[in-house]
Amino acid sequence: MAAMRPPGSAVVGAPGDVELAAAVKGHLADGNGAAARELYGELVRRHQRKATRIALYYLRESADADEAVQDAFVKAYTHLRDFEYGRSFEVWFTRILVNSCLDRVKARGRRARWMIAADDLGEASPLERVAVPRETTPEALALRRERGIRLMDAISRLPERQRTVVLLSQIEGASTREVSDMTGLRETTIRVHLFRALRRLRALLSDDPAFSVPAWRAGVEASGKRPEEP
Amino acid sequence: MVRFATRWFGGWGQPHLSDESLVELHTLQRTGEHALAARYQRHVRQCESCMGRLEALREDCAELRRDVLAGVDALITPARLDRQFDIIARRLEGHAGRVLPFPVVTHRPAPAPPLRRWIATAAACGLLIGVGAGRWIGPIDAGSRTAWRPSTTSPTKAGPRLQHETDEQMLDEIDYALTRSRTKEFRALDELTPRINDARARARR
Repeated sequence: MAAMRPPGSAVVGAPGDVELAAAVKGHLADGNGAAARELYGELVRRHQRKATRIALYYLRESADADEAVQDAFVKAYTHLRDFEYGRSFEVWFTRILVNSCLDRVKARGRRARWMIAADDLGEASPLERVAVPRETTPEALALRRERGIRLMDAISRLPERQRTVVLLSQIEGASTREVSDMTGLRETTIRVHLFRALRRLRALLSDDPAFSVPAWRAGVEASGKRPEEP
Repeated sequence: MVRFATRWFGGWGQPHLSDESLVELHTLQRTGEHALAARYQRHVRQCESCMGRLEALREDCAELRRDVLAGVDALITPARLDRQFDIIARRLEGHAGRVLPFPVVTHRPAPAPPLRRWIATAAACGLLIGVGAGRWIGPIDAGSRTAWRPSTTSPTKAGPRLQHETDEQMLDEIDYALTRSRTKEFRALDELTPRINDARARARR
Protein backbone atom coordinates (compact mmCIF):
# COMPACT_ATOMS: atom_id res chain seq x y z
CA MET A 1 0.00 0.00 0.00
CA ALA A 2 1.41 3.37 -0.96
CA ALA A 3 1.53 6.71 0.84
CA MET A 4 -0.77 6.03 3.77
CA ARG A 5 -1.41 8.98 5.98
CA PRO A 6 -2.21 8.15 9.61
CA PRO A 7 -5.17 9.98 11.14
CA GLY A 8 -4.41 13.14 13.04
CA SER A 9 -1.09 13.70 11.32
CA ALA A 10 -0.10 17.18 10.20
CA VAL A 11 -1.94 17.74 6.95
CA VAL A 12 -2.57 20.98 5.18
CA GLY A 13 -6.31 20.93 4.48
CA ALA A 14 -8.52 17.87 4.66
CA PRO A 15 -7.09 14.62 3.31
CA GLY A 16 -8.42 13.43 -0.02
CA ASP A 17 -10.72 10.46 -0.44
CA VAL A 18 -7.93 8.21 -1.59
CA GLU A 19 -5.76 9.05 1.41
CA LEU A 20 -8.68 8.50 3.76
CA ALA A 21 -9.51 5.17 2.13
CA ALA A 22 -5.86 4.16 2.35
CA ALA A 23 -5.78 5.11 6.03
CA VAL A 24 -8.94 3.05 6.68
CA LYS A 25 -7.29 0.10 4.93
CA GLY A 26 -4.23 0.57 7.09
CA HIS A 27 -6.25 0.56 10.30
CA LEU A 28 -8.15 -2.51 9.17
CA ALA A 29 -4.88 -4.29 8.42
CA ASP A 30 -3.65 -3.40 11.92
CA GLY A 31 -6.86 -4.75 13.43
CA ASN A 32 -7.87 -1.33 14.69
CA GLY A 33 -11.54 -1.50 13.74
CA ALA A 34 -12.69 1.46 15.82
CA ALA A 35 -10.25 3.88 14.17
CA ALA A 36 -11.07 2.45 10.74
CA ARG A 37 -14.77 2.98 11.29
CA GLU A 38 -14.20 6.50 12.56
CA LEU A 39 -12.25 7.47 9.45
CA TYR A 40 -14.64 5.67 7.16
CA GLY A 41 -17.43 7.73 8.72
CA GLU A 42 -15.75 10.79 7.23
CA LEU A 43 -15.85 9.20 3.78
CA VAL A 44 -19.50 8.33 4.28
CA ARG A 45 -20.32 11.91 5.24
CA ARG A 46 -18.60 13.21 2.12
CA HIS A 47 -20.40 11.00 -0.36
CA GLN A 48 -23.68 10.33 1.38
CA ARG A 49 -25.73 13.08 -0.25
CA LYS A 50 -24.66 12.30 -3.79
CA ALA A 51 -25.11 8.58 -3.16
CA THR A 52 -28.64 9.16 -1.89
CA ARG A 53 -29.40 11.30 -4.92
CA ILE A 54 -28.25 8.57 -7.30
CA ALA A 55 -30.27 5.98 -5.40
CA LEU A 56 -33.32 8.22 -5.62
CA TYR A 57 -32.95 8.47 -9.40
CA TYR A 58 -33.20 4.71 -9.63
CA LEU A 59 -35.48 3.77 -6.78
CA ARG A 60 -37.58 6.87 -6.32
CA GLU A 61 -38.61 8.11 -2.92
CA SER A 62 -38.73 4.92 -0.90
CA ALA A 63 -37.06 3.04 1.91
CA ASP A 64 -35.32 1.06 -0.82
CA ALA A 65 -33.23 4.09 -1.78
CA ASP A 66 -31.89 4.53 1.76
CA GLU A 67 -31.26 0.82 2.10
CA ALA A 68 -29.38 0.73 -1.20
CA VAL A 69 -27.12 3.54 0.02
CA GLN A 70 -26.53 1.80 3.35
CA ASP A 71 -25.79 -1.50 1.65
CA ALA A 72 -23.36 0.17 -0.73
CA PHE A 73 -21.41 1.87 2.07
CA VAL A 74 -21.24 -1.32 4.13
CA LYS A 75 -20.20 -3.33 1.09
CA ALA A 76 -17.54 -0.77 0.18
CA TYR A 77 -16.16 -0.97 3.73
CA THR A 78 -16.00 -4.75 3.73
CA HIS A 79 -14.36 -4.79 0.27
CA LEU A 80 -12.04 -1.87 0.89
CA ARG A 81 -9.03 -4.16 0.48
CA ASP A 82 -9.97 -4.37 -3.23
CA PHE A 83 -9.78 -0.61 -3.61
CA GLU A 84 -6.58 0.34 -5.39
CA TYR A 85 -4.65 3.37 -4.32
CA GLY A 86 -4.59 5.95 -7.10
CA ARG A 87 -8.10 5.28 -8.31
CA SER A 88 -11.00 7.55 -7.48
CA PHE A 89 -12.87 6.39 -4.39
CA GLU A 90 -16.00 8.12 -5.63
CA VAL A 91 -15.95 6.27 -8.93
CA TRP A 92 -15.23 2.94 -7.22
CA PHE A 93 -17.99 3.49 -4.70
CA THR A 94 -20.49 4.68 -7.31
CA ARG A 95 -20.03 1.44 -9.18
CA ILE A 96 -20.98 -0.51 -6.06
CA LEU A 97 -23.94 1.80 -5.49
CA VAL A 98 -25.25 1.58 -9.06
CA ASN A 99 -25.08 -2.21 -8.93
CA SER A 100 -26.89 -2.20 -5.61
CA CYS A 101 -29.61 0.04 -7.06
CA LEU A 102 -29.98 -2.05 -10.20
CA ASP A 103 -30.31 -5.21 -8.12
CA ARG A 104 -33.11 -3.58 -6.19
CA VAL A 105 -34.79 -2.33 -9.36
CA LYS A 106 -34.78 -5.90 -10.69
CA ALA A 107 -36.07 -7.29 -7.41
CA ARG A 108 -38.78 -4.66 -7.42
CA GLY A 109 -39.74 -5.66 -10.95
CA ARG A 110 -40.10 -9.26 -9.84
CA ARG A 111 -42.18 -8.25 -6.85
CA ALA A 112 -44.33 -5.94 -8.95
CA ARG A 113 -45.66 -8.91 -10.85
CA TRP A 114 -47.31 -10.12 -7.67
CA MET A 115 -47.85 -7.07 -5.54
CA ILE A 116 -48.94 -3.46 -5.83
CA ALA A 117 -45.91 -1.18 -5.49
CA ALA A 118 -45.91 1.52 -2.83
CA ASP A 119 -45.28 4.08 -5.57
CA ASP A 120 -48.61 3.23 -7.12
CA LEU A 121 -50.40 3.99 -3.90
CA GLY A 122 -49.85 7.72 -4.13
CA GLU A 123 -46.24 8.19 -3.05
CA ALA A 124 -44.76 10.73 -5.42
CA SER A 125 -41.45 10.15 -7.17
CA PRO A 126 -38.62 12.60 -6.46
CA LEU A 127 -38.30 12.88 -10.20
CA GLU A 128 -41.78 14.30 -10.22
CA ARG A 129 -40.95 16.95 -7.69
CA VAL A 130 -38.07 18.75 -9.29
CA ALA A 131 -38.71 22.40 -8.74
CA VAL A 132 -36.57 25.11 -7.25
CA PRO A 133 -37.96 28.55 -6.72
CA ARG A 134 -35.26 30.86 -8.05
CA GLU A 135 -37.39 33.05 -10.25
CA THR A 136 -40.21 34.92 -8.66
CA THR A 137 -42.92 35.02 -11.31
CA PRO A 138 -45.41 32.21 -10.99
CA GLU A 139 -45.23 31.54 -14.74
CA ALA A 140 -41.45 31.11 -14.70
CA LEU A 141 -41.66 28.87 -11.63
CA ALA A 142 -44.35 26.76 -13.22
CA LEU A 143 -42.38 26.43 -16.45
CA ARG A 144 -39.19 25.43 -14.66
CA ARG A 145 -41.00 22.93 -12.56
CA GLU A 146 -42.69 21.53 -15.62
CA ARG A 147 -39.43 21.26 -17.55
CA GLY A 148 -37.72 19.39 -14.73
CA ILE A 149 -40.62 17.00 -14.38
CA ARG A 150 -40.81 16.33 -18.12
CA LEU A 151 -37.08 15.84 -18.45
CA MET A 152 -36.85 13.34 -15.61
CA ASP A 153 -39.95 11.59 -16.83
CA ALA A 154 -38.36 11.24 -20.27
CA ILE A 155 -35.10 10.00 -18.70
CA SER A 156 -37.00 7.42 -16.70
CA ARG A 157 -38.44 6.08 -19.99
CA LEU A 158 -35.02 5.37 -21.45
CA PRO A 159 -33.59 1.85 -21.49
CA GLU A 160 -31.60 0.97 -18.37
CA ARG A 161 -28.09 1.57 -19.73
CA GLN A 162 -28.98 4.75 -21.54
CA ARG A 163 -30.65 6.04 -18.39
CA THR A 164 -27.61 5.23 -16.28
CA VAL A 165 -25.24 6.94 -18.71
CA VAL A 166 -27.39 10.08 -18.98
CA LEU A 167 -27.88 10.38 -15.22
CA LEU A 168 -24.24 9.90 -14.38
CA SER A 169 -22.78 12.03 -17.14
CA GLN A 170 -25.33 14.74 -17.80
CA ILE A 171 -26.91 15.17 -14.38
CA GLU A 172 -24.11 14.13 -12.02
CA GLY A 173 -21.39 15.55 -14.26
CA ALA A 174 -19.14 12.48 -14.61
CA SER A 175 -16.80 12.24 -17.59
CA THR A 176 -17.01 9.41 -20.11
CA ARG A 177 -14.04 7.75 -18.49
CA GLU A 178 -15.57 7.98 -15.03
CA VAL A 179 -18.89 6.60 -16.27
CA SER A 180 -16.93 3.78 -17.86
CA ASP A 181 -15.27 3.00 -14.52
CA MET A 182 -18.58 3.28 -12.69
CA THR A 183 -20.52 1.01 -15.00
CA GLY A 184 -17.86 -1.33 -16.36
CA LEU A 185 -18.85 -0.43 -19.92
CA ARG A 186 -16.30 0.58 -22.54
CA GLU A 187 -15.96 4.27 -23.36
CA THR A 188 -17.11 3.75 -26.94
CA THR A 189 -20.19 1.92 -25.66
CA ILE A 190 -20.90 4.80 -23.31
CA ARG A 191 -20.71 7.27 -26.19
CA VAL A 192 -23.11 5.19 -28.23
CA HIS A 193 -25.56 4.91 -25.32
CA LEU A 194 -25.25 8.60 -24.56
CA PHE A 195 -25.95 9.78 -28.10
CA ARG A 196 -28.76 7.31 -28.55
CA ALA A 197 -30.23 8.52 -25.27
CA LEU A 198 -29.92 12.17 -26.27
CA ARG A 199 -31.55 11.52 -29.61
CA ARG A 200 -34.35 9.64 -27.90
CA LEU A 201 -34.77 12.40 -25.33
CA ARG A 202 -35.00 14.96 -28.09
CA ALA A 203 -37.65 12.87 -29.77
CA LEU A 204 -39.56 12.44 -26.52
CA LEU A 205 -39.41 16.12 -25.66
CA SER A 206 -39.67 17.68 -29.10
CA ASP A 207 -43.45 17.95 -28.97
CA ASP A 208 -43.44 19.07 -25.38
CA PRO A 209 -44.53 22.71 -25.00
CA ALA A 210 -42.19 23.16 -22.01
CA PHE A 211 -39.24 22.51 -24.34
CA SER A 212 -40.53 24.13 -27.48
CA VAL A 213 -38.32 26.58 -29.34
CA PRO A 214 -35.51 27.26 -26.88
CA ALA A 215 -33.25 30.22 -27.66
CA TRP A 216 -30.36 28.07 -28.90
CA ARG A 217 -32.37 26.42 -31.70
CA ALA A 218 -31.15 27.44 -35.13
CA GLY A 219 -32.68 30.65 -36.45
CA VAL A 220 -34.93 31.24 -33.47
CA GLU A 221 -33.45 34.60 -32.46
CA ALA A 222 -33.35 36.03 -35.93
CA SER A 223 -36.62 35.16 -37.58
CA GLY A 224 -38.57 32.97 -35.20
CA LYS A 225 -38.38 30.00 -37.54
CA ARG A 226 -35.61 27.71 -38.71
CA PRO A 227 -33.81 28.31 -41.98
CA GLU A 228 -34.03 25.63 -44.58
CA GLU A 229 -31.49 22.87 -44.44
CA PRO A 230 -29.60 21.94 -47.59
CA MET B 1 -41.04 14.76 -34.28
CA VAL B 2 -37.29 15.17 -34.61
CA ARG B 3 -36.13 15.04 -38.18
CA PHE B 4 -33.22 12.99 -39.42
CA ALA B 5 -30.05 14.39 -37.86
CA THR B 6 -28.07 16.70 -40.12
CA ARG B 7 -24.65 18.06 -39.24
CA TRP B 8 -24.79 21.43 -40.93
CA PHE B 9 -27.25 23.84 -42.51
CA GLY B 10 -26.96 27.08 -44.43
CA GLY B 11 -25.14 27.81 -47.65
CA TRP B 12 -21.76 26.46 -48.66
CA GLY B 13 -20.16 29.80 -47.94
CA GLN B 14 -21.70 30.23 -44.48
CA PRO B 15 -22.45 26.87 -42.87
CA HIS B 16 -23.78 26.58 -39.33
CA LEU B 17 -23.99 23.72 -36.91
CA SER B 18 -27.36 21.99 -36.83
CA ASP B 19 -29.20 21.61 -33.52
CA GLU B 20 -28.13 17.97 -33.37
CA SER B 21 -24.48 18.88 -33.85
CA LEU B 22 -24.73 21.61 -31.26
CA VAL B 23 -26.16 19.18 -28.69
CA GLU B 24 -23.44 16.71 -29.64
CA LEU B 25 -20.74 19.34 -29.19
CA HIS B 26 -22.11 20.39 -25.82
CA THR B 27 -22.32 16.77 -24.67
CA LEU B 28 -18.79 16.03 -25.79
CA GLN B 29 -17.49 19.05 -23.93
CA ARG B 30 -19.37 18.09 -20.78
CA THR B 31 -18.05 14.55 -20.80
CA GLY B 32 -14.47 15.68 -21.34
CA GLU B 33 -14.22 14.40 -24.93
CA HIS B 34 -12.38 17.43 -26.25
CA ALA B 35 -10.58 15.55 -29.01
CA LEU B 36 -13.88 14.43 -30.51
CA ALA B 37 -15.38 17.89 -30.06
CA ALA B 38 -12.50 19.56 -31.91
CA ARG B 39 -14.07 19.36 -35.38
CA TYR B 40 -17.10 21.37 -34.24
CA GLN B 41 -15.03 23.52 -31.92
CA ARG B 42 -13.00 24.92 -34.81
CA HIS B 43 -16.16 26.11 -36.51
CA VAL B 44 -17.70 27.54 -33.35
CA ARG B 45 -14.60 29.63 -32.65
CA GLN B 46 -15.01 31.34 -36.01
CA CYS B 47 -18.81 31.57 -36.13
CA GLU B 48 -20.43 34.12 -33.86
CA SER B 49 -23.92 32.79 -34.44
CA CYS B 50 -23.00 29.22 -33.48
CA MET B 51 -20.99 30.47 -30.52
CA GLY B 52 -24.05 32.36 -29.27
CA ARG B 53 -26.27 29.35 -29.74
CA LEU B 54 -23.79 27.11 -27.92
CA GLU B 55 -23.71 29.53 -24.99
CA ALA B 56 -27.51 29.61 -24.86
CA LEU B 57 -27.64 25.82 -24.97
CA ARG B 58 -25.03 25.59 -22.23
CA GLU B 59 -27.00 27.95 -19.99
CA ASP B 60 -30.25 26.15 -20.72
CA CYS B 61 -28.77 22.76 -19.83
CA ALA B 62 -27.02 24.10 -16.74
CA GLU B 63 -30.23 25.63 -15.48
CA LEU B 64 -32.15 22.44 -16.11
CA ARG B 65 -29.48 20.40 -14.37
CA ARG B 66 -29.44 22.76 -11.36
CA ASP B 67 -33.21 22.47 -11.08
CA VAL B 68 -33.12 18.70 -11.21
CA LEU B 69 -30.30 18.42 -8.67
CA ALA B 70 -31.80 20.92 -6.28
CA GLY B 71 -35.21 19.28 -6.55
CA VAL B 72 -33.82 15.88 -5.59
CA ASP B 73 -31.55 17.41 -2.95
CA ALA B 74 -34.59 18.96 -1.30
CA LEU B 75 -35.73 15.44 -0.44
CA ILE B 76 -32.45 14.64 1.29
CA THR B 77 -32.86 16.36 4.62
CA PRO B 78 -30.09 16.49 7.27
CA ALA B 79 -32.25 14.32 9.53
CA ARG B 80 -32.49 11.71 6.81
CA LEU B 81 -28.74 11.71 6.31
CA ASP B 82 -28.14 11.45 10.07
CA ARG B 83 -30.51 8.50 10.34
CA GLN B 84 -28.81 6.83 7.41
CA PHE B 85 -25.39 7.49 8.90
CA ASP B 86 -26.40 5.96 12.24
CA ILE B 87 -27.64 2.80 10.54
CA ILE B 88 -24.42 2.49 8.52
CA ALA B 89 -22.35 2.98 11.70
CA ARG B 90 -24.35 0.31 13.52
CA ARG B 91 -23.97 -2.12 10.67
CA LEU B 92 -20.24 -1.51 10.49
CA GLU B 93 -19.98 -2.29 14.19
CA GLY B 94 -21.67 -5.60 13.51
CA HIS B 95 -25.12 -4.78 14.81
CA ALA B 96 -28.29 -5.07 12.81
CA GLY B 97 -29.19 -1.81 11.12
CA ARG B 98 -32.74 -1.80 12.35
CA VAL B 99 -33.85 -3.33 15.63
CA LEU B 100 -37.13 -5.14 15.34
CA PRO B 101 -38.92 -6.24 18.52
CA PHE B 102 -39.18 -10.00 18.65
CA PRO B 103 -42.50 -11.39 19.87
CA VAL B 104 -42.14 -12.58 23.46
CA VAL B 105 -45.31 -14.69 23.75
CA THR B 106 -44.41 -18.37 23.47
CA HIS B 107 -46.51 -20.57 21.26
CA ARG B 108 -48.12 -23.58 22.93
CA PRO B 109 -49.83 -26.24 20.83
CA ALA B 110 -53.53 -26.45 21.52
CA PRO B 111 -54.58 -29.72 23.17
CA ALA B 112 -56.07 -32.11 20.61
CA PRO B 113 -59.64 -33.26 21.30
CA PRO B 114 -59.86 -36.90 22.51
CA LEU B 115 -61.98 -38.10 19.56
CA ARG B 116 -59.37 -36.93 17.00
CA ARG B 117 -56.65 -38.64 19.04
CA TRP B 118 -58.59 -41.94 18.93
CA ILE B 119 -59.00 -41.75 15.17
CA ALA B 120 -55.28 -41.11 14.69
CA THR B 121 -54.37 -44.04 16.94
CA ALA B 122 -56.76 -46.37 15.07
CA ALA B 123 -55.30 -45.33 11.70
CA ALA B 124 -51.74 -45.92 12.91
CA CYS B 125 -52.72 -49.39 14.28
CA GLY B 126 -54.39 -50.29 10.98
CA LEU B 127 -51.30 -49.33 9.07
CA LEU B 128 -49.05 -51.41 11.34
CA ILE B 129 -51.33 -54.45 11.07
CA GLY B 130 -51.42 -54.10 7.28
CA VAL B 131 -47.63 -53.93 6.99
CA GLY B 132 -47.20 -56.90 9.38
CA ALA B 133 -49.76 -59.05 7.54
CA GLY B 134 -48.16 -58.23 4.20
CA ARG B 135 -44.78 -59.37 5.41
CA TRP B 136 -46.22 -62.54 6.91
CA ILE B 137 -48.12 -63.58 3.75
CA GLY B 138 -45.13 -62.80 1.50
CA PRO B 139 -45.05 -61.71 -2.16
CA ILE B 140 -47.89 -62.81 -4.42
CA ASP B 141 -47.01 -65.32 -7.11
CA ALA B 142 -46.27 -63.68 -10.47
CA GLY B 143 -48.40 -66.21 -12.37
CA SER B 144 -51.49 -65.35 -10.43
CA ARG B 145 -50.97 -61.69 -11.24
CA THR B 146 -50.71 -62.22 -14.99
CA ALA B 147 -54.06 -64.01 -14.90
CA TRP B 148 -55.74 -60.72 -14.27
CA ARG B 149 -54.42 -59.18 -17.49
CA PRO B 150 -56.77 -59.09 -20.46
CA SER B 151 -55.53 -61.52 -23.10
CA THR B 152 -57.01 -59.73 -26.14
CA THR B 153 -54.46 -56.93 -26.36
CA SER B 154 -50.76 -57.47 -27.02
CA PRO B 155 -49.02 -54.43 -25.62
CA THR B 156 -45.77 -56.36 -25.26
CA LYS B 157 -45.33 -56.46 -29.04
CA ALA B 158 -46.39 -52.96 -30.11
CA GLY B 159 -45.68 -50.97 -26.93
CA PRO B 160 -41.87 -50.74 -26.68
CA ARG B 161 -41.43 -50.24 -30.40
CA LEU B 162 -44.00 -47.49 -30.49
CA GLN B 163 -42.46 -45.89 -27.46
CA HIS B 164 -39.03 -46.25 -28.98
CA GLU B 165 -40.19 -44.50 -32.14
CA THR B 166 -41.83 -41.68 -30.26
CA ASP B 167 -38.70 -41.27 -28.08
CA GLU B 168 -36.55 -41.08 -31.18
CA GLN B 169 -38.95 -38.63 -32.73
CA MET B 170 -38.88 -36.51 -29.63
CA LEU B 171 -35.06 -36.55 -29.52
CA ASP B 172 -34.96 -35.65 -33.21
CA GLU B 173 -37.24 -32.75 -32.50
CA ILE B 174 -35.02 -31.64 -29.66
CA ASP B 175 -31.94 -31.85 -31.88
CA TYR B 176 -33.71 -29.87 -34.58
CA ALA B 177 -34.83 -27.27 -32.07
CA LEU B 178 -31.29 -26.94 -30.73
CA THR B 179 -29.87 -26.23 -34.16
CA ARG B 180 -32.20 -23.32 -34.70
CA SER B 181 -30.76 -19.87 -34.07
CA ARG B 182 -33.25 -18.91 -31.38
CA THR B 183 -32.04 -21.60 -29.01
CA LYS B 184 -28.32 -20.84 -29.13
CA GLU B 185 -28.33 -20.31 -25.38
CA PHE B 186 -29.19 -23.95 -24.78
CA ARG B 187 -26.30 -25.33 -26.81
CA ALA B 188 -23.88 -25.24 -23.89
CA LEU B 189 -26.40 -27.15 -21.81
CA ASP B 190 -26.92 -29.58 -24.65
CA GLU B 191 -23.20 -30.23 -24.93
CA LEU B 192 -23.11 -31.19 -21.27
CA THR B 193 -25.95 -33.66 -21.72
CA PRO B 194 -24.82 -37.20 -22.69
CA ARG B 195 -26.09 -38.35 -26.12
CA ILE B 196 -28.45 -41.32 -26.06
CA ASN B 197 -26.56 -43.15 -28.85
CA ASP B 198 -23.26 -42.77 -27.02
CA ALA B 199 -24.85 -44.08 -23.84
CA ARG B 200 -26.29 -47.07 -25.69
CA ALA B 201 -22.98 -47.89 -27.33
CA ARG B 202 -21.24 -47.71 -23.99
CA ALA B 203 -23.89 -49.99 -22.43
CA ARG B 204 -23.41 -52.58 -25.22
CA ARG B 205 -19.67 -52.66 -24.60
